[in-house]
Amino acid sequence: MTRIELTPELERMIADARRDIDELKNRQFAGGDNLKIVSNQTSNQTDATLSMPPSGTGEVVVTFDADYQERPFTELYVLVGTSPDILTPDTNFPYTTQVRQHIHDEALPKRTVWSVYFTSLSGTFYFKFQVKATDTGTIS
Amino acid sequence: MRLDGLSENQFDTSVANVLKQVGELKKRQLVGSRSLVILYTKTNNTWDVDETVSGSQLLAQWRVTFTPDTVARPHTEISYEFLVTPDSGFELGAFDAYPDPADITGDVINYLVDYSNPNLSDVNVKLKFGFKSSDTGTITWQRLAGV
Repeated sequence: MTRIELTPELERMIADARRDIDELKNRQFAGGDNLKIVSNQTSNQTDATLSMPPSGTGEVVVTFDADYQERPFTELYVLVGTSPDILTPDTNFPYTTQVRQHIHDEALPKRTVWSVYFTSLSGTFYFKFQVKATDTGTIS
Repeated sequence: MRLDGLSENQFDTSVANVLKQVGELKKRQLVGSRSLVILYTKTNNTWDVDETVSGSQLLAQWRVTFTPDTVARPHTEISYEFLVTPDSGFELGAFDAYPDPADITGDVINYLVDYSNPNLSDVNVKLKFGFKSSDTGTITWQRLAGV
């Protein structure tokens, strides 16, 4: 049998490796610069249009289908405008938006669904949605 | 591979390979869609809240608490469904859910769920809650005084 002679250098390398492996076996934190967040949006200029009656409330249902992850963390951003070119608040058309995330459908684990409730004066309003999430995905 | 079958040179190479792989593991490990486990908690109830809201009450309010099993203050997202009977036709946008601003330092997660009651007579309000979180937990709720 061949005996392997451990030189001081080899012993040091093995000791370093043992220490590194022990460190890696500790709890690994997720956060800060290693948590990957993706901003998702369609390539459409606008995603939805609502024609509002006087002082009414309309509803737009937004769906995000993640590419990989089940139950991804998500944040829905709603941009609203009175012109498809300018999706910024128009002081001539005061409005409010409320967002409700639907109860998760176990049969579609990658899907997140919201209802966007929009209350305003009468007019036509254009919506653009963005989803900040822990995964890429498709908005519809 | 048996160590006693290695020559000294092969052993050096093997150790160097192990060190190289350990070095790769010590680099920043990105956490994202393929490695972040997110859980969903809801009760077994068909509806969690099943209560009467008086026609004289302008705002009904519930505090919904998610008590995580292991982690203090995990990131959470609330989701909910509602059913108002009879429906006045003005229920869209009548509900809102948001983090309870009175309690951001505790270990549990509190949300307030508001119902801006558009009705003049009593209605039945049903609510069902769910939480996305990095931890499992327990959901409880409490009707607040309202207005």
